[in-house]
Amino acid sequence: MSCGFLYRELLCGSSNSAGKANSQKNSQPEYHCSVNVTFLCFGLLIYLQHITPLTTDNIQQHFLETLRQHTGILHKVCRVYCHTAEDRQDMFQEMVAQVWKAFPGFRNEAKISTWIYRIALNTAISDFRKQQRKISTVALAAGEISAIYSEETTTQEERLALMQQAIDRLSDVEKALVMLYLEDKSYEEMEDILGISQGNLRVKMNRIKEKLRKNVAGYEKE
Amino acid sequence: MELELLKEIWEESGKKPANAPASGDAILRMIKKADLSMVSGMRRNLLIEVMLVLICATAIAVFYFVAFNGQLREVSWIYIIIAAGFLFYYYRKNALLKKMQCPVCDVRSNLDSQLKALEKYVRLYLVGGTALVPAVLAAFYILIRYKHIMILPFSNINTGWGLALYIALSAMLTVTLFFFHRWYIFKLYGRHIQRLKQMLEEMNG
Repeated sequence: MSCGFLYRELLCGSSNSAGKANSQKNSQPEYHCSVNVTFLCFGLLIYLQHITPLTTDNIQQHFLETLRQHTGILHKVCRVYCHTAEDRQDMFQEMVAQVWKAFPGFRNEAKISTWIYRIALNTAISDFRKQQRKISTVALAAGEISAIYSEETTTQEERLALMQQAIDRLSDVEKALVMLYLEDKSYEEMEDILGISQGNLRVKMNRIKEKLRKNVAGYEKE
Repeated sequence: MELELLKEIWEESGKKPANAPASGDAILRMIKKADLSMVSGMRRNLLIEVMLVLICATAIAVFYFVAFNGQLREVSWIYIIIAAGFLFYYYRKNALLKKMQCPVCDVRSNLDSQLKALEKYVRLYLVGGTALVPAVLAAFYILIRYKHIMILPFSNINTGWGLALYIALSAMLTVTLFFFHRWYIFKLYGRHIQRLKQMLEEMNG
């Protein structure tokens, strides 16, 4: 049975019945055929019109829900890599755009948080414009820093500024490692995000911890 | 201050209102805005460049097909060939720019692929930009030689000396532009390539 015949069978009924109808009612089978095809196309059009916005809406809702749960990750990465509110806002927007672009391709092969960390860190680290971004040069004076340590009533903002200064002295790669360390990520997850072997990560983490201790101790002595 | 204290501060900072999730509307507005990333910007610029080249080449080609009773239609064909070359050049550039972005890959592979693609992109930029000069000069020579167009009253490049001078000047211009392109490309991408290399060394080391 040829495909053409099948097509005719499906759309117009059997050729015999069409012939009978033709002889009995003197109607045109082509007319029935085109009516059926039009009907099918029309149905398909209505289906597509309904299904497309629904799917997009569903993806959008799913995306918003996922992002709502993990926005903290994006904010934290922005804070580590940017120094002004304007830069942070730009970078946040860029990260959201990248997550949105990649979202339909997410296949649950990795944890969603790992996946978002990858996007956020890739956006922050490989950003061309970062060279032009001005790194905060408003460093606290040594006296101010020791005052922050000595006072028991240290405010959260001051403590945060201090931590920021300690992290600022690290390279971009070290910043990523420290951030994941502060987030209590396992070495396995760090490897997934950064692509550095666990052995290498352990060595690097020890060096960075030492560096951070020195940075902070430097402030304390001053 | 112990590192545990840093962790404590980090946790505290996560509870700040600035880290509160943005509203759905704000997020949707963000994704509808133009992509701010540098690679997307480069791709947008590339598209504008393609449009400009095509518009200019088409206008010139049409002009030479129509003007001078069509006696200089060879010029039109040369421009069409140059435009086709440019299209291929832009296609390759765009393909390399696409390769530069893999935000879902792990950071090290992303940096690695970005570095490789950027190095290829820069090489293409340098080779393409430099090769264009002798290609255009050769096309001009063919026009001058066979269509008897005199650029200057005394510029007879059909004779041995004239041809030698033309070749020498073309070579000098090509070499000069090669160094200019190299300087300009390094100015544009050199620092970024160095930075990518440094980061990769740091990750591997």
